[in-house]
Amino acid sequence: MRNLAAGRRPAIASLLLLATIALLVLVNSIGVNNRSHRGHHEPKVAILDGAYAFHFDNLPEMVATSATVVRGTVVGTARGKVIDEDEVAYTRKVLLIQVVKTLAGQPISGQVTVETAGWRQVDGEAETEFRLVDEIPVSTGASGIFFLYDFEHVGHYGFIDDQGAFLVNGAEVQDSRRTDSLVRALEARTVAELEALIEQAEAAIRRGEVRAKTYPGTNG
Amino acid sequence: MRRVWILAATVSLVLATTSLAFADNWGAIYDEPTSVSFQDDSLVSYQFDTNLSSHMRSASDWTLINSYATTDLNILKVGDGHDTDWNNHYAIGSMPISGLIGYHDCVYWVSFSRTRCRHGHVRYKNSSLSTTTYERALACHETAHSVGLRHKGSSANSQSIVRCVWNPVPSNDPYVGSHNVAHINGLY
Repeated sequence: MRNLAAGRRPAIASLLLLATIALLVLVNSIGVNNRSHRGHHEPKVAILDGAYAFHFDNLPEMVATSATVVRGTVVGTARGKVIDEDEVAYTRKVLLIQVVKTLAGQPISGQVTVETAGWRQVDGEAETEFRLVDEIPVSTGASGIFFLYDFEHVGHYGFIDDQGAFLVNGAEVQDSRRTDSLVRALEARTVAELEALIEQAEAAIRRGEVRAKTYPGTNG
Repeated sequence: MRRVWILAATVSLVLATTSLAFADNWGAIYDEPTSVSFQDDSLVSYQFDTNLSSHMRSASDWTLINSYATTDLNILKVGDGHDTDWNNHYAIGSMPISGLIGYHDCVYWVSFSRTRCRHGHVRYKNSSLSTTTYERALACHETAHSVGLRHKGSSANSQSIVRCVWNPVPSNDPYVGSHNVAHINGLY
């Protein structure tokens, strides 16, 4: 009996091994499928890879370059400018932000409008939301610290780049899971600490120790 | 039994290689459809809009001829216009959000595919940038998205590796680099 069981053991082990391999192949193929063929079901959000005008390695430079840095709450959204690129139309989303406090730069009282990613439509088909790769979604009710820049001089600000929005939850800065090292460092702070750092940066700017980055293009 | 172990080792190696490729800056890995796309085949035809400035025209030609044409991709330039039969259309345009200076978007995918693109847009906001090198770097960066390269991945997390595909666009590096060329040549 023992000999019979011992004789079956390699066969059982082989079967188990083959089953494990089959399972691994199945799991892997599902993973690859999800990564490469997700267009077969309805898209939720389209992600664009874009190049930003600015990017920062440190907070003081981001404060210096921003037209204004505010703490506030998004109290409403609206459809904004339509960018018509032949077969594709992008509609920006306008965020209406109730400013609680101007932390640096141009003083803002009351409300400010900020244009961000909205909707994309190809050839008149159904609209899809779009966002930029590292951009965090900001919607009505969200509170945060926002670094704003007047890119187009038309009365709406934009976030200075994909580092330019930090959502807050009470006394804490929310973890957005963005991978950028400056964002990681700032999201590890409390709101009070982040505001103190912005205040220190503003003081350094006034002393002439920090300068704004120059816009890289011929307009903006 | 030995055969089974050899088979297991082979399968494990294949699985590990597949996973590594997707941990890199090659191909689309997001949960949603993305503008990073592969070309429909190894022939990349490109067309300039009549509005494309002389600076960005020169930068786009430079990167396609000096970088991408040296890979296994075949590059074909056609006369100015906007014909969706060609792969990449380059133009000056307004940005979907105001903080951008350039983007790539796949407009028409190959039927039943979300990885292969047959017509896409490369758009630049500005008619020129602060230096010629920066203009070439931006052209290199956006063209990279059109052939399947994305900003960075956990195993390619260095500017010296991903070169012009680095985020932000490196104003002093207009080259696609050997790492990305290996990816391109591996597919096309």
